[in-house]
Amino acid sequence: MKNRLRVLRAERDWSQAEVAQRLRVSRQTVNAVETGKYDPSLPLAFEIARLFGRTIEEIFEAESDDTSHQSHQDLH
Amino acid sequence: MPSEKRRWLGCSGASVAQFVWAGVFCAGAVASVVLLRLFHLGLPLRIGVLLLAILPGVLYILTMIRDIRRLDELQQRIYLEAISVAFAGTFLFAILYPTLRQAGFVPAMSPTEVSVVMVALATVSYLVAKRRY
Repeated sequence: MKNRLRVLRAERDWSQAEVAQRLRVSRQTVNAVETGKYDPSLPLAFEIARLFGRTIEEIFEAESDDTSHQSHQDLH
Repeated sequence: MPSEKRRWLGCSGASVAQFVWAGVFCAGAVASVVLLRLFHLGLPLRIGVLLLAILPGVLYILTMIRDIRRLDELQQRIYLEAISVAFAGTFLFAILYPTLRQAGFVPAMSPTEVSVVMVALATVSYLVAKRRY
């Protein structure tokens, strides 16, 4: 799953440690989510969305979205 | 996890209390073995001596569970992977032990020595899982 966490964090000039503190998780977790090594749970995704004032869809995007969209178009 | 709590947790997510109870448990276990070997105690005292090891052991488990609950979801996943590998590895080792022993690949081992294998497996798998993320 791709995400815009790094971009949103950079916009606010927050460090990973700062985001981790605000989300009450470890810095390793923030880094793992940013680099796509770990997909957060739905409650944590909501926490992230709330922190940045965005919706979950604006931050996270499924990797297969393009493919499924393409196949959907192919059907028409 | 609140930051003021986090500072008490080590790199493995274990609090100081967890290490303390593990130490007290080991000391209690050794002391109970020594006492039972040295003295011929009556049943009530034998139970008391056994509790020397069992009570810190129970407190160790309770502290470990409390520490795991304080971890965030990724750290809990890492912990779960480490414990799963340690459990499955020790289980397989225990099942295969008679065969390995018969074939001469492992020496005679006490249950305490087998627990060292479990701790080693947990440590290695913890480090591997932590590195992956």
